[in-house]
Amino acid sequence: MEHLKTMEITIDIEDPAPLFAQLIEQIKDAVLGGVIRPGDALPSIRQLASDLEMNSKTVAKAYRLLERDSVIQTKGYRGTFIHPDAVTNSTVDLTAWVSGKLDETIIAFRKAGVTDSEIRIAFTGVMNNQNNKGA
Amino acid sequence: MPDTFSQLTVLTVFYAVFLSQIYLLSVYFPGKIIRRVRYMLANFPPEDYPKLYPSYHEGFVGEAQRKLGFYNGINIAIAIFGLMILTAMLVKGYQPSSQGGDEIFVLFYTMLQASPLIYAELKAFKQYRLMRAAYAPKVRSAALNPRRLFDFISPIYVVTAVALYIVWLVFYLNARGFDDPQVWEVYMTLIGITGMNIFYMGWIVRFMFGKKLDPYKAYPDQLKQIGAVTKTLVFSSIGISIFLITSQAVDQYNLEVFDPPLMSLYMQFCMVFGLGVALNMEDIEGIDFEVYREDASQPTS
Repeated sequence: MEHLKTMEITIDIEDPAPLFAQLIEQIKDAVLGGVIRPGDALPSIRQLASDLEMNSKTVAKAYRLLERDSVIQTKGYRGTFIHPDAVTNSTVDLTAWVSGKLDETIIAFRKAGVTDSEIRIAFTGVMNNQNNKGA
Repeated sequence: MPDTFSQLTVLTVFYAVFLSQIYLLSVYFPGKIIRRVRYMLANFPPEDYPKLYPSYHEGFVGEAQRKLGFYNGINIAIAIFGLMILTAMLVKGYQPSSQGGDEIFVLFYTMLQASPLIYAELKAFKQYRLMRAAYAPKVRSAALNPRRLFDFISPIYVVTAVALYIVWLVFYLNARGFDDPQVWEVYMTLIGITGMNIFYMGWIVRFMFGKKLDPYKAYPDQLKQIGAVTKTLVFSSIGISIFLITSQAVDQYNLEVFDPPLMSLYMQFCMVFGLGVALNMEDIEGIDFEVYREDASQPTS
């Protein structure tokens, strides 16, 4: 199992970035750097949480977001694996995409004369409606 | 006693096996443990490797050497006591009971022999707790690979353990069954042995996926430790199944005179394939002690 030593992940608990974001970033970096390849198995949530001495919910959140982005895929009892399209999908930054879209929309609202407080109230209202529909 | 075996054969087997037990449990393994601790104290002293000794205080090394001497003395005393029992038996012309039951004395003596070892293990767990309490790294690392059971033990041993458990279950239920007059004993045995195997499985899972006992341990050493624990417990499961099957066969074929040496052999098996495997796999000269230095960077988990 000597080769396993090369595939490492490091978390800095004093880093301002949230722990789950650090995990996501590092797994994506490992995919982009070719350290882990599509089809490679990842440790279980419990194993990674124990090794990093962190809450398993944090690791589960990171895995859930990586699965949403199709960087990893869960195959039932067999475990979690790197997605076949992980290399392409690791370059997609959904947070940056959302920020860009919101930026465009807010500029359009302001041009139309909508105030910041009206934008905030409307945004919160829409979010609440969406959440209620989802529930 | 069946005519098939002469008194001399039965007694020779008994004394040979019991002598071997005295040597293994009270001389060989304690000696190995003492040499291991002395090697650590001599080559990795608390001044240079403080993380290895969380309960370090002034006069620690001298106190540790005294405790090792006491541990050695206790084991020698237990070995002498065992030899005295054997001599008394020889002088009094002991004959193993043809009804069985003498193995209980072997069991008691084994418990006496194991008590210093159990004490040492409890002390080790206390040290691990102190290590964990002092462990607060800001940067933590982990290997991004899954750990799987068969990375640590051949499937053959696991299949053998499961198969032997099933063989024992079928053999035992066939011999005793649920219409046995002492059915509670049957239930207790079934619950005890099944529970023990489940406990072993849980312990393996805990070592594979749970937090490390020693938080500073380097990743390759952690893998060695998981391998040692896994092998120890799977071999123990195999050993107890073989012992139970043989014990049942001994009862069935009226060979109870061999119960005491059988019990002794089983205890020795547990020590050789338990502690022996663990000590050999965690070869002290191969352990990375640099992680215990004051300024050592945090090891990969």
